[in-house]
Amino acid sequence: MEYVITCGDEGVQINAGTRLGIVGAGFQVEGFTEVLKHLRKSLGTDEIRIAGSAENDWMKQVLDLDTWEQVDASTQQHIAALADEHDLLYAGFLPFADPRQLKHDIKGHMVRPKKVHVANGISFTLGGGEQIYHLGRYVISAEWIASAPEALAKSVLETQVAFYTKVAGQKLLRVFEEEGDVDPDLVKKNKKRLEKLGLL
Amino acid sequence: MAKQRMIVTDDQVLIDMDLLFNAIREADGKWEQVESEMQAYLAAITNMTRTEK
Repeated sequence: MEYVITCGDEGVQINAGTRLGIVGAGFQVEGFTEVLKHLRKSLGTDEIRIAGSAENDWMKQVLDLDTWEQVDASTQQHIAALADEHDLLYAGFLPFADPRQLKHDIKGHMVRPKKVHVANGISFTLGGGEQIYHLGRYVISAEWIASAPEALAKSVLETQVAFYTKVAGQKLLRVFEEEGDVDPDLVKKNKKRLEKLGLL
Repeated sequence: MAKQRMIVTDDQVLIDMDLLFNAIREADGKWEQVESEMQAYLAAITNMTRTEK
């Protein structure tokens, strides 16, 4: 299974590989190092890929940049450096174009219109990444939340929910996906914790 | 209730008016640029639909 961390932007579509959504692909997300540790444990693999994506609102905000050209250039540099720092496989950059073959067996692209966010919901993945692509959903990886300290899960998930809500400009629907290769007992625990955190 | 923002059919993109004006605002008022990007998006979607059939 080729897991790839990307931003949870609804426009990111992975055609080859299994997507784990973390805002900004984890760049300057507080607790990302700890999240990775628990994610690797939950997925049963140390080999995780990472890819940057075009027109990334999180990168624009945290780097305080003005134009999407600047954001796209910075995203490629910063995500490649993040991969080195965390021993992730850097797959490349997902553009607004036809599906692009990246490194490490990942293929994908951006499929929302430029400058437009169309999602009206958030999908939490509990069982091993995104199983069914949906243009109307931001994606948040939650495979790791039952094995992590509750405070970490709460802070990382709430940061993302707040950011996507701001980008969408409206309250978002909450759904979840349970399918995937993660141990079913752990999936149940992930769901229970998500409910306990009041995020479903 | 969360509002649906966009509906894509085989040959149409129906989009929330606020999103369209926000896109124009973000493009510093260059509506031709946004129009061209939306046309390109519709063409890509139409092409994808044809490929899948």
